[in-house]
This record gives sequence, structure tokens and C-alpha cells, in this order.
Amino acid sequence: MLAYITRRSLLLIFVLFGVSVLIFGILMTFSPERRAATYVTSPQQAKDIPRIVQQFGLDDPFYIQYVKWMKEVFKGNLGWSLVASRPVAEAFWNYFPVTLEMNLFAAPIVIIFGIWLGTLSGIHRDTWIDHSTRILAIVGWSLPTFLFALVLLMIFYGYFQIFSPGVLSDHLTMFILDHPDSFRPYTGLYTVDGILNGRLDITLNALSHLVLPVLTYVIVVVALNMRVMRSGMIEELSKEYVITAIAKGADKKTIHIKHARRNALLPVITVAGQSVAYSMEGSVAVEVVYNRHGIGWWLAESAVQLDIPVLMCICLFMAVIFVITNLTLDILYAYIDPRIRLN
Amino acid sequence: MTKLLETVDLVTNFYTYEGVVKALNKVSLVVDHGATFGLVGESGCGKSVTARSIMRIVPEPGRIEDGKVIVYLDEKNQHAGIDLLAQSEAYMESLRGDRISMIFQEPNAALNPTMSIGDQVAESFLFHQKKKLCATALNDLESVTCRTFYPLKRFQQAVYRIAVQRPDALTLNILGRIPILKHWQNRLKNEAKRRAVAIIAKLGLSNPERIVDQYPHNLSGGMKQRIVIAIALACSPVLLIADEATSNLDVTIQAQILELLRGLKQEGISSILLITHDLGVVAETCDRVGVMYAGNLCEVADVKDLFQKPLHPYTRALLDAVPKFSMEDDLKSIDGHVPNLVMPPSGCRFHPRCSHAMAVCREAYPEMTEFGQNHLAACYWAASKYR
Repeated sequence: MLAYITRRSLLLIFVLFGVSVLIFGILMTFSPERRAATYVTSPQQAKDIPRIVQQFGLDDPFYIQYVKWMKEVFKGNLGWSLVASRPVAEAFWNYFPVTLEMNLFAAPIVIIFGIWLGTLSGIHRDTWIDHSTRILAIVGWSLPTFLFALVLLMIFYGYFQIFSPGVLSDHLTMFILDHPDSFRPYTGLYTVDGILNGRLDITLNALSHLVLPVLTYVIVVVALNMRVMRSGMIEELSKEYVITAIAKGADKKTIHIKHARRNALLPVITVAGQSVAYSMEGSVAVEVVYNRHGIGWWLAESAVQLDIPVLMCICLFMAVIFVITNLTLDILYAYIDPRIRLN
Repeated sequence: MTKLLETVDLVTNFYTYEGVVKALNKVSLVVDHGATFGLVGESGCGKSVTARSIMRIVPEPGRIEDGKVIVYLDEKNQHAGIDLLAQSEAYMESLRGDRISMIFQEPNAALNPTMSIGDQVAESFLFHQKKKLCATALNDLESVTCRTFYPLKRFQQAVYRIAVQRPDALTLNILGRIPILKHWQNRLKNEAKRRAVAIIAKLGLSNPERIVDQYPHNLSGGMKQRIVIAIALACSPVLLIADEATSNLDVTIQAQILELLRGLKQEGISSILLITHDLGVVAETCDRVGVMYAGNLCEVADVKDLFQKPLHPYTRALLDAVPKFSMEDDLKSIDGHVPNLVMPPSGCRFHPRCSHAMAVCREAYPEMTEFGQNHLAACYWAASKYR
């Protein structure tokens, strides 16, 4: 097991190398002048563009620029973010907790709720339970995320005046900025920091800001998990070993929970893991609509302003997340299915 | 001979998109205590559906429409028959695997791939012999006297005492759900596992202690079929239904399994209902044979009578179609196909393929009539010729 994990972790290095070359190559398709121009803020500076290109070697061959960039990355310097107006590495740790916080709440709900609904739907096939969950799934899956987020925002914030967008209410944000000594950001997650600092009102406030983003994300992503679970359940329940179990005298609950569900979980693990990994990029639409300054929002802003170092950083981050998720999935597979051995 | 199982005019239909498949058309058969009853016929003639109707495990969209399945579990009291079709599902759950059990055609599919062999076999004991297991566990607990005060043991003793008296008490149900306390069941599970090892050893598998911790994919087909049989025999049932149990195994293993079944029958299980399309297997193992065609039982006889003096034209054709060791003759087959049971032929369902078909065969279905000692057939032609 340990050898397997080590081997897979070594693979991560190659994946990161490949991804970085690819992304770097894509960004190289912009002309040197275009890349230099992103750092030019006023028309008067436009005449400096050739000098900038010269100074930073922007017209050097691809591999020289790549090696130069790589050297800086190994020194821990990921570049300067225009959007955040601070170094990328530093800004990353500012944005990351916001995304992480949402995922910490959304992922378990998506997984548990998806498995539960799918099981229910598969057991009660072609009844009203099945039909209603499937309608929910179809609606969630086919509506674009941003539209769904906007509709929820309009209903809850626009009409009922609850669940405002953002990460924290203004007066609390101001309080935290004004009193850096009494509120220490241990983790960067406001819900956790609120408890650690003994400020439950901050925790509750942060939670109320999380409701809508989590809800949007859950409804959109739960559909996939649910449908995979449902079809898995139906498939497993039609298999011969279920009839063996019935002939053994097993009751319905034992058959569903002990026999069929465990086997039906296998395909769901893949989907659930992938959807969690996918959501780590911050589910751009959710963060932009709800004005939560996390990785997804940062990515959207950087793409618009051509903040190249940020794009590189987030792409590498995504690659790491996907490799780690896949590794976790493989280990989980081996745990659930005795037919799979990690050797 | 005393009756163990009797089906009376069993009718099972499948409601498919193409229409209603009339899979069983008034099947009436009797299996005696201590007998091996063979049910033969071509594929798709309703043998398996008969077996599953008896167990009440007809898969969707099938439905048992009419008839009775009466079991006489007590050999001495022939009046105390129980109609299984009138019983509750809970009663059936307590009966299945305990008094009547079933083994299946495909050992590779019949075992849960993600559950250890031991757990799968032990389940039978946990479903049906909880009380006995609890009593054994309690015995174990009490036989070891410990001098020091040992709260865990006290607690377990108390729980098992309740379990022996009232296995479905609410207290146990609650205790089985509380995270740490629910481990009181471990003793029960270990006991069930010990019995699983014993039954696996009894079925002639070497190294049963190792097998219980393995998974189905670790075993060969023949071993898996033995495990499936072990599951079925765990609670020593009165009736064992073997649904094509040897059809998918190669010949040597088939012989081993049949030998095993024969041996087990001498040891204890009362009766076997053997479903097969292999007449050789029938001749080897059965006392009595029923021949099925297109959802009808067309001939029932003692095995000797059936092979020596077949009455129904279908039985004759079936016997002729058995491959023989001879170089001269071509292998005979029965012309035509098994009819589509959505629109079965009128009258006798075999008449389109029957060389002796008469006008009456197209119009009315022949009744089961007795032709000699315990020899029944449903055929107008046989009736006109042999009676």
C-alpha cells in the first residue's frame, strides 16, 4: 500500500511537469507585446513596451522562458498577481480558504445526499419517490449553474432579504479588520475561526452566507451522483446474488443495505470524487454570482485581465487536486472491492 | 409415501411489453418426503419459474396469479398443510433458507462479489438460528467463571439472556444500533462463523478456515457451487430446490456435485427438487420425474417407468434427442420451436410439433390422467392408445 502511494505521488511530479509545459505553451501564443501590455496602465507607458519585452526576455525562445519561470517557481516565487495586487503565492492562501470552506460543507452533503437519494430512488423504482427525485435531478443537471445561482439569489436575498451574498456581513468584516488582535485567523475559514476565537456570531454569520452557494452547488452536482447511484442500485438488485440472498431468507433491508448498496457504490465513488475535485476550482459561476472571493472568482478575474501567473498557478493547483483525488479514489476502491488489489 | 410439497394449478404470468407471457399454466406436482423429484424440459418451458413460484421469488414483472403451493413440513401430520401463497412475506422470509432453500445455476453470479465467503454462509445462521446462536454464546460466557468483577462480561451475559428469551426485543434492537455497545453482537457473529466453517468443511472443501476469509473471486467454479450449496444447506432444510445446479459446470465437477447431493440426501435433507435439462442427470439421481413443456406439466412418472415406457409424444421426442454413443445415426432433434408464450397454441401447447396430433388436440387441453401405477400424462393420443 505504502509503495503504491509513493509510486503514485512520484507520478504527480510528471503530471505537474506536463501540465505546466502545456499551459505555458498555450500562454506563449500571446505575442510578447501583448503580454507586456498587461503591465502597462497608462497610454504614456505604451512606448515602454519594447523595453519591457527586452528587459524580461519575453521574446526569448519558449524553453528559455520556461526554464527561467521554473527557476523562480522552485524559489517559491510564483509571480505577481495583478488582480490581487500581491504575490501569487501569498494571494493563493488568501483565496483558498474561501473555496475550501464552501467545499467542506458542500462535498459531504453532495455525497451523502446523492447516495441516499439514489438508493431510495433505485429501491422504489417507478414510484412517485423515484419520479420526484429524478425530476429534481434533471432540473438541477440541466439548468446552468449561474442561472440557478441567480434565481436563488433573487428569491432569497432579493425577496426574503435573507442569505446575503459575500463571505461575511460588512460590519463583521470591518470589525475583523479593525481588531486584528482580538480575532486571529487561525485557519482562514470564518466558521472555524469564529469558534476558535469564541465568536459564535461570526460563525453563524459565515454559515448564513454559505447557505445559498452550498445549496446551488449541491442541487447542481447531486444529480449526477444520484443518477449513478440509482442505476447502480437497479443493476445490482437485478443480479443473481440478490436472489441468493432472498432465497437465504434475507429481509428487504438487509438485501438493499448489506448486499446491493455496497456494490452499487463503486461507480458512485468515481463520480463523487471527480465532482469534489472539480468543485475545488471553486465552481467559478457560484463564486462570481455570490461574490465570494475564492479560487473560482480569482480565476475568472484573472482570465479577464490576462493575469498569466495566476492562471498558471491555478492550473497547477487543479492538477495536484485531480491527482490526489484519483489516488484517494484508488485507495477507496481497494477498500470497498476485495477484487482490487493495489500492487 | 407422504407428501411434502404440492402445487395445485399454479398459474404464473409475466407482464411484459409484448404482452402477457403465460409462463405456467396450471402446474400441479407433488414432491414426497424423502424423494428426489426431477423436473425436465427444454429451455424456457417454465421449470425455473415453477421453482421460483414455490419459493415466491418470481422476479419482476412476473406474478403468481392463481393456484396453491402447499407444504407439509410435518411428515406425520398430513392435515397441517400450509399454503405458501396465502402467507405473509415475513413468514416466507423465515421459511426461505431455513425449511426450503434453493441453489442456482450460475455459481459465479450467485455469490456477492464484495462479501467474504464466511459472511455469506454465516448470514443463513444469523437469519434463522439467532436463538440457538445466542444460547451457545451465553453458554460460553457462563462456562468461564471469572473471579474479578468484569463489567463487560456482565453486560454481555445480560444482553444474551434477553436475546435467548426474546430474540426480537426492542432493547436488543436499540443496543444493536448504539456505536460501541453494538459490538455485543461480535460473539454472535463469531459463533455463526464457526458454524459456517463447519458446514463448509462438511461439503468437502479443504481448508475451510482459510476459505471463510476469502472472496468469491478467489475460488473456482466448483468450489463456488459448493459454497452456494453450503448456504442452502446451512439450516438443514426439508426441501432443497436445485435450479440447474450442475448445468454450467464441467462434467467431472458436475459428477462431484451430484455425488455430494446424493450423499447429503442420505444424511439428512429430506427431499430435492432437481431442475435440469439433462436427462442423464435425471436417470442418475431422481426417483420421480416431471416433464414440462411450454408451461405445462405433461407427464409425471417414476424414473424407471418414464425411461422405459414414455407416454407423452414430447417425452418420447426428448428421450430420442439424447445424444448416444453411436456412429451411425444422426442426432435427432424435435422439429419446430418452443412456442411464444404470449400467444400460446390453442389446446395442447405441443400440438404444432406433435406427429400424433389429432383434431381434439387443437381445441382442448388434455387433463392429467393416470395410466398405471403413479404414471400420469396429459395427452389425448396416449389416452386413446394405452387405455
